[in-house]
Amino acid sequence: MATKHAENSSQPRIGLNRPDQVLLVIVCMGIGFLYGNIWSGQVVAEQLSLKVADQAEQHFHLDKDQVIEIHGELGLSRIEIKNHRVRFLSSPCQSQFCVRQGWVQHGGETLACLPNKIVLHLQGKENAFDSINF
Amino acid sequence: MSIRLSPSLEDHRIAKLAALSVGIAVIEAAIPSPLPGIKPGLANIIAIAVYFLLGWRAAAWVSILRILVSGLILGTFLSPGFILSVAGGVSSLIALALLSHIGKLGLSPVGVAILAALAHSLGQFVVAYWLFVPHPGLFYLLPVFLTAALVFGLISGFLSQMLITKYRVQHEFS
Repeated sequence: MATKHAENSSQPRIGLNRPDQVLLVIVCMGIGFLYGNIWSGQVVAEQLSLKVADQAEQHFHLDKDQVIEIHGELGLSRIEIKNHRVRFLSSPCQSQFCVRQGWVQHGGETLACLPNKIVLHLQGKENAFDSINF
Repeated sequence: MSIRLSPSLEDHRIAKLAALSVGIAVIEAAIPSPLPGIKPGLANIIAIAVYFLLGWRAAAWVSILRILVSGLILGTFLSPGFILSVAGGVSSLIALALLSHIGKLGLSPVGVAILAALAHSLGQFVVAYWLFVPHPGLFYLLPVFLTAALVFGLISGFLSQMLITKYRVQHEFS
């Protein structure tokens, strides 16, 4: 059978031609835009709110790297702020869930050590939903 | 008295190509997928090649037959997965029809395969959202699906480009 679309034969046979490249760029941009738009529920966190048992909240700015040592119900918990992220460095609790949660960095995210009664909450300009709201 | 349908040469050709893509679809079904809804769609290599070599009508026949028959073989006929297959197949065929109308824009099989794959995923997404999971959380997956469509469209586009080139070289003198 004769080939119907002889106009393609002048183009490279394997590879992307110019319209393909334009399409690819447009599609990549479109998908990138979608990622940005749909996944942008993540708010940059600005400060850490720390609450121990029923004491008043304390606030720490995430700009300053530091290790906060705080006494909870069981003993000393160490909380690290580094590169705008926060984690439990060590905890006297048995389960160590808080330490294993690792780093959090977005507004609305929470770290908690229930045995030691310490709750960390990241706050941004506006708070995103966390998994509990979701 | 029975009705006799005499299949034309064209019918035979479409049946062979459809059988080929059913084979690919069935083999592909054995490949595990990281996320439901993401699969390479290698049978579309045939559909794109047919679209370029024989036109949209033949490609539509091959695709629709492939979806129906592989649904019957795999036992997914009329299941949600099958409905999504139909949705994807129909949307990519609509995209190909529109593309034919505007003269393919000079796209090679690679570009056409990318467009068809994106249309496939978009159509599937719309139907999935509308019929099965009307939850806004589904939108988080949309970019992932489209990325997969882009990657697999690119791959199957290259493969169908090779197929078309090979076919044309073989038939250059006929």
